[in-house]
Amino acid sequence: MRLLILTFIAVLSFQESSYAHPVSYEGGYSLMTQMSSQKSETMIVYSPKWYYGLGAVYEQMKPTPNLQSDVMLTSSQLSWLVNRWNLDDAQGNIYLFGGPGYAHFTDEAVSNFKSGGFYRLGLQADFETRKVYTMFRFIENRLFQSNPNQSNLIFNQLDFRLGYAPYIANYNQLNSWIILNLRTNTEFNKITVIPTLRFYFNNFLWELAQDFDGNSYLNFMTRF
Amino acid sequence: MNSKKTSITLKSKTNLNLNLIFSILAMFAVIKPVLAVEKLNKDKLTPEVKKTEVADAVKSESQNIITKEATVKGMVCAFCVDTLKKVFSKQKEVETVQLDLDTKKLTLTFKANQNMDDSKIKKLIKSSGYDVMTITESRINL
Repeated sequence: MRLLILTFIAVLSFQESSYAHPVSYEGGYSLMTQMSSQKSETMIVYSPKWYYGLGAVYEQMKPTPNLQSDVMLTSSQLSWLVNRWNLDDAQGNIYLFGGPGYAHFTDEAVSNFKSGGFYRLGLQADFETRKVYTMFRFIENRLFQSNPNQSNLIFNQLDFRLGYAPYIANYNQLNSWIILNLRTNTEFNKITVIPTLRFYFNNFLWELAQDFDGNSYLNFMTRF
Repeated sequence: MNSKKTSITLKSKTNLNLNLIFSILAMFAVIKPVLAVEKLNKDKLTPEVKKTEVADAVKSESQNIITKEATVKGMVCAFCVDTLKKVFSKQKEVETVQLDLDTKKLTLTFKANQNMDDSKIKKLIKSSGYDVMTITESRINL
């Protein structure tokens, strides 16, 4: 049983750009993109059921102190809504993500890693009302092939978000959020504070952000 | 004498023939208009025409417009609203879908003389990832 659970978790991968709910409705599609000065990512997810989604991700990262090379990650993934709490004026969710893929390091001569198969694992928990939004998220990317002299960990990242809606808007009005994103990862080994603005309108979501190191972020998501 | 008798016989035969002709003409004169009226009535009141007219009359007199209102648990964002709007708009019975984030209400107006079971509404909301608190129904007869 433990092996079964571990196998299931092992095939789950994380949808990094999805700061909103990563699984949509039965028969629905989600398209998500994330762009920043460090990386860009595009993901499409199809949800056969409301509690799980099947997706494909393409991610490109610039060299970091650990990676030493450009890297392109292409992966398939499964997103599973483990539990949802529907309350009168709030909703809480726990998601698991994961899947296998291929990591291509463009400059293997200088990189600490060799190109090859990798897997993602992730966990997300969120809770939101129409006024307050919180989210916790952890993601880890590891190569399947391990090297005795080098860890197979490509990178991991931990995010915590706290958001506030300055006004309450209805569906056909512009919804705005002010979010404080705290991030730590293996690449920079410090806590990065990322003030973020989020806008919802109908089935479109945009996020604009900039950290105190001058890095800009643009996220976009839609469902159809 | 004989010639006189023959003449009388011929005269009576001629009268008989004339009477017969007049009788036939009279019969036509009476029957034709009767048949014509009958044909006219038959054309106007064929069973098919009557059936259609009656059906149309019934239909036009009993157009039922049903509206159902569901209170949805967990609907907190624009994506939630969009999800429910898409799911219910695809249903053939549904004419319009209205959602209100403030009141958490999903209002469904159905096509004339059509309806949807509460169990189906609950199932569709559940399969969209939300829960239902209440469902109420109202009818308008047009």
